[in-house]
Amino acid sequence: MSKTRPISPAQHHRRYPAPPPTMDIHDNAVPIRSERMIHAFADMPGKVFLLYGERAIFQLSLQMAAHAMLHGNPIAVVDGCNRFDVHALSRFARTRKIDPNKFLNHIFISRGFTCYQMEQAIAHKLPAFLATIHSNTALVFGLLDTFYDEQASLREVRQILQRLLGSFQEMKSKGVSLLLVCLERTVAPKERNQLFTTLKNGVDRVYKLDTNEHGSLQLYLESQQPVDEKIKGVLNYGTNRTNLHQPDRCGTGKLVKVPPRTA
Amino acid sequence: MKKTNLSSEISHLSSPISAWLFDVYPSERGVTLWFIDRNGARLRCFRKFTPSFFLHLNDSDVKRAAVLAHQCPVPISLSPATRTEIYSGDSIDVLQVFVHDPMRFKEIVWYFEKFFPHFAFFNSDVSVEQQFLYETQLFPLALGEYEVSKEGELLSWHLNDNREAPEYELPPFSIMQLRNSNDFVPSKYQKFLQLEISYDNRTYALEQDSPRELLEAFNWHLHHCDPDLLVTDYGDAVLLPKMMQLSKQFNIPLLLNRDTEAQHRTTKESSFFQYGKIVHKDGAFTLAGRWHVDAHNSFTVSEADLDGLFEMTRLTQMCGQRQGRASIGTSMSSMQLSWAYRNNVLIPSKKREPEEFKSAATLLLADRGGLIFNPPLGYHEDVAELDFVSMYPSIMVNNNVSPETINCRCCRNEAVPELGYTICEKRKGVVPETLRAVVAKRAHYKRKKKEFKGKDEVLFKRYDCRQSALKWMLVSCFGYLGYKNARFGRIEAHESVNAFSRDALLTAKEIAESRGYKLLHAIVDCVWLKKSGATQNDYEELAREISTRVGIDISLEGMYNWILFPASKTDPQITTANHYVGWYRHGEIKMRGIEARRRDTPKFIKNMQKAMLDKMSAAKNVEEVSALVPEVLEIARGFMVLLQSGRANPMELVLKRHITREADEYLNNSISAVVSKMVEEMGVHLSAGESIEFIILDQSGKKKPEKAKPIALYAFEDGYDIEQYTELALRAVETLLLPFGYDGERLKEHFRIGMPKQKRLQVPQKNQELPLFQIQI
Repeated sequence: MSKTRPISPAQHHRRYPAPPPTMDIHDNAVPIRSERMIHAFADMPGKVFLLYGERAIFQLSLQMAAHAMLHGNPIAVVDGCNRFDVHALSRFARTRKIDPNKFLNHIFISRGFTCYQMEQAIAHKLPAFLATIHSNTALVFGLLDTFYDEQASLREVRQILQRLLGSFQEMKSKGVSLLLVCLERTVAPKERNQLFTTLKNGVDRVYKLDTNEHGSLQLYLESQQPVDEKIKGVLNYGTNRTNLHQPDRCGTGKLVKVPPRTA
Repeated sequence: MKKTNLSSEISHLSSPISAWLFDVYPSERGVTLWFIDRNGARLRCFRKFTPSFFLHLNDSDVKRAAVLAHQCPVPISLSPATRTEIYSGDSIDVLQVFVHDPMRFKEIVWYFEKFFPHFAFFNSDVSVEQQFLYETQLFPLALGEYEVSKEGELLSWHLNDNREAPEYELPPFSIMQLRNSNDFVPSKYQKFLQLEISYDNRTYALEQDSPRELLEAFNWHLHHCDPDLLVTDYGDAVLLPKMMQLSKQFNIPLLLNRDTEAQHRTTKESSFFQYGKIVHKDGAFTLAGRWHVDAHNSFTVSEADLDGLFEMTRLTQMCGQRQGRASIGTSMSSMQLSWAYRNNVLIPSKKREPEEFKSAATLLLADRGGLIFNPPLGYHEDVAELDFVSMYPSIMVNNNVSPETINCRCCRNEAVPELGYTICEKRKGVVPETLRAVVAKRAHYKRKKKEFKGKDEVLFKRYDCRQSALKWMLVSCFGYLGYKNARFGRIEAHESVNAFSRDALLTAKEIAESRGYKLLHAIVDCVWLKKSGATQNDYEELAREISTRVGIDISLEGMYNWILFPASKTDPQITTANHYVGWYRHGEIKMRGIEARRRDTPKFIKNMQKAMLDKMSAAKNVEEVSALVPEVLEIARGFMVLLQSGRANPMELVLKRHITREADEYLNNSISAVVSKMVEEMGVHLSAGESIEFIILDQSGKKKPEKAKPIALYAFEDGYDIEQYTELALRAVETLLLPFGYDGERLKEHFRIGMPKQKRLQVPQKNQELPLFQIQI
């Protein structure tokens, strides 16, 4: 009689063990150019990156999305903080003499206004939707913004975040690349600030956009997890760089028919 | 009113009684019910009732739930059931959890919430009394025949009433009013209260010397009046909590509750965001067996009086005390929950349905509001206003717009204009199903109100209050569709309503223009049209044609002698939507957005602008308005002279603002910060969203560092900031006379006022954010 498969926190921990502690590359975060992050994100499928810091992170991530769309890759965005700027994308298309309407048909958005909607959008709707548009790239804006709403109890938002971290790992194992984009915020109920730490520990790489000593914006690689051996193995498994069949191999170990990507 | 005091359990009854259901609340046996019979007797009985909620679990978790049920601290029972999931329309298997101690229902929900995620829960946050009312389809103030056993148990009933009935009989209520006699300063800001009690057309001042005597006097009045309704001002936040505090201190129990076995209930105050503004709501202080209605803490009562409250109580099935404190959204929700119970539809404990993925191109089309055509600046004549009647609710009802009907799985009709969304043709949606009765009832009350206008003031007021209560529901229903916490809300439904409204307005515009009318202005559901020589009949004929084509009634609101669309305060070259004032030919004035209508304008300035407008009422066209300008300026001069002399009544200069944070959270030295800190020092704690009332002493803070004083601390010798209030007054004059060339500078010259600074009409600097996609990091 089940469509949903609720699990207890204990079961959840068994199913999705806590990720290993993050490994700092250096004592301090490493300044890098944004192209490196873009390449690292586009390089191979199946990863979860977190980009946080100054407000320009949304512009930067839309820039990433726009470049991916230029190469014909559709993108899905789940927006929890109403930062998706469709007009900016339209302007981007015009400056490159691309039909904005066609261009905007390559990026898809779902907005969530509560943590419950965010969970539903990311864990339940996003994987299926990515399959329908033959994409393996998604952005999540302001994942935690709705988690700071005190109408949802701390216990509940903690549980939701844990479930979402599990979903990220599940999507990652199927070759989906996720970029989580959050503002750096300190919220009034102090206990909720712990959510951000939990999120940081649950992703592969953490990038921070900050103001440097010269007063200009600088991107830093703050931490990264060791490369997942399982993913690494699959990536070396004779695939070309498009990793066309990677998600299915990763899941079942067998080749199955995968619909072609959109041009 | 002579009443029979029979507030007791009805152990002597066995035959059906003809009575109104008055109050319902949970008790250990189920629910306690209070009735008022035709003789004025107040009767209590009980009804066995086992509240329940649903869990949607997989097979292994169903077994787990059974184990948990055994370990549960309260007796519960589980039963498999089948209910409908609203969005898909599918029947799904669920586990119904019956809680055998209704008083501990919430506790059991929390118990299970520790083990299962939020999306497994349905109907779990519906209160016990609401469950009872939804399941039985009883409603407060329902007149019927109720059969009660000798043990006081409600056995059966037959209603001679319908909650959607437009005409109904009300019980013979006894009403007691309790308030602070010094009502100029709100009770919240006063350390010492002087209580007044009114009932049976008499008012009693409680002037006892000691608190003990005061409590005894209060009890005497409660006993003597035995009110059904205790209507207070600040009863939730101040009066009843203070009385309870005294009662505990002096060990004199109060007779507030009619039910001596039940406790009064309190809830915490809260601050929350509403339409981008922080608002504050006092905690509730509710009674058992009678209603405590705090007029200050009740939107329904403040807008539509007790008649509005009775109307809403019947329609929403929420008991008076809850309805009295409920937001419009909660009221609408209640009607939808009732529908869900009637149709065996599951109610998710948390709204979790997100927006469907849509392309950015679709978002660009969909994420728009109603249509606005900005008006041309200045005075206009020969203008008529046509308004669509309940446009948004009508769209929802006529087009079956509801969260579960938009983009359903079964139909493909691309029914929504522009967006191409599908609307289900097989199912009737919850939103139109619940709104239909509201739309019909309001239309009935508006007709009745018109019928009794000038003939029967009592009936006129009654119907006006009823339609006013429903009006707010219809006004809010559209916004509620997109509200994040609306139980049955969905953004696509919200977008669809907007798309239909834009389509309707454009159709109206096309029809009008094809018949030679000029569209002067339009805001979402109203159009201002102009055609030289057009008569009322011409406009009414046009309205009929638009109604037929669009499918929504549009009515002629009136024809104006003249109408003014004033300049924006930030850019004098343009107008802003929803700011206008004009005199109709039928002798009424209509104003929106100008100082005389705004809540943040001091009364003195409102009076000045109203006096100017009254003078302008004589003008039949723009030329006549122009001719009246010198006289209008003289009226303004009279007010200016009084203001400048320092002799204006300071109580007419009171400003009201909502504070956005608590006093100690302000980091700046703004007037709100200064005043809220002064109020805090008085010993009155204000939360974010609460209002402060103050008089400005020195806006700049140079002469008087306190800048402003709350009215509770104000003394006449404090004076007021002449410059600041003159500035406000000049703006109000400028609003009306700028089209005749009287801007701020010219007005100062005219009134011979030397102002130190000019703050008006500054065009804001352009946003200097980083250009997008030019980031090189």
